Amino acid sequence: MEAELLLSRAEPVDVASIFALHQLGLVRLALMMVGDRATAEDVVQEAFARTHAGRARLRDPASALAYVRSAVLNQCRSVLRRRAVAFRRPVPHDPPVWSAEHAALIGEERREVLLALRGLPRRQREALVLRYYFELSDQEIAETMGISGSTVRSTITRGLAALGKALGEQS
Amino acid sequence: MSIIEDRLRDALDGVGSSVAPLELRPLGETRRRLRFDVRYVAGAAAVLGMVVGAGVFMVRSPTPVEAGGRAFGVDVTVFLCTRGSADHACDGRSATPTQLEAIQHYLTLQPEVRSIVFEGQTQAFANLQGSEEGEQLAKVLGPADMTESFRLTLRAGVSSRALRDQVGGMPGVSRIVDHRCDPGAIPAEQCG
Repeated sequence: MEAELLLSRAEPVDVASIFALHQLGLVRLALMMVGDRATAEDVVQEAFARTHAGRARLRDPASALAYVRSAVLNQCRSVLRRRAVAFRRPVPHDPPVWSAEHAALIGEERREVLLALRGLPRRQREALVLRYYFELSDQEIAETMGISGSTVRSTITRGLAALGKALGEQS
Repeated sequence: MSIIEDRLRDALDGVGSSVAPLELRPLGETRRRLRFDVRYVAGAAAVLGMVVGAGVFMVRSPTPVEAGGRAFGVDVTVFLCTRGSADHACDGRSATPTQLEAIQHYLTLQPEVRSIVFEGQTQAFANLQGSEEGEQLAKVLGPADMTESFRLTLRAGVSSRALRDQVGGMPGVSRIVDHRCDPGAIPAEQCG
């Protein structure tokens, strides 16, 4: 009871500082999900606005970054859903980093991997990016994605296997 | 580490490095919509002319693959860890976004630093292709072989010693080079 009272009196987490400090990482995370820079920046701006509006609910500084990453991933999912129904209501966006337009900049080998990654189920794609770019632990990925640690491990294992298959290599 | 893991890390590094710090829209600022008005078009043309001019100038400035040449106006270069780097401090891994942000944050707080420009792998490769010395090298290298860096100009007359000691030890930093210490560079006394 006392702990609850203490918790309820805790100061709200400084959302603006977390976003400012981690903006680069958050934009890169969004870019890996949605593919183009302008949309990625919009995603982070939107996630910032939403998280900031609901900051009173965020009282645990230890889990704040996971919460913020989670907000960015949620926003990316919304963008991808909107694009999926683009034939009904077009959502204009720049060519993604895995498109042929970026082949010269990103390199053909990297592009091949990104295309294979894009072909994976959403959960596997997110887990692989959080592990292999952000070097997050199972627990951190679990907190960000809202799944258990054992699910993270199995998702990554399956994701790597699927990626290897798509690329015609042994993982 | 498996080949797949290695390739995945490398591909994600490539995407990540295409977004440079210091270029991001400030939080809370919405994307500006273009309006086609004659006055705006004339203004944009003038600005574009200046930007292209400056761009051509920058592309022509020599840029190292890892370390070496001094780009115009750059006093100190902070080279970041790249995957596969032989540098012990890097442990063969790229600088993480968190490390990069910490380095950038530290640099922006230093009074002796006048300006900071981030050079990602793509930009570094473009600069290499545009330089006379790097033209041949660019035929056998790709963007993945380039090193990300922060390029700094310092206030006149200040030494980089404190900066080199502090930043050189930060996680994610491969090495820090004061180009004023290059053989023949003037003034060399400030590099001590």
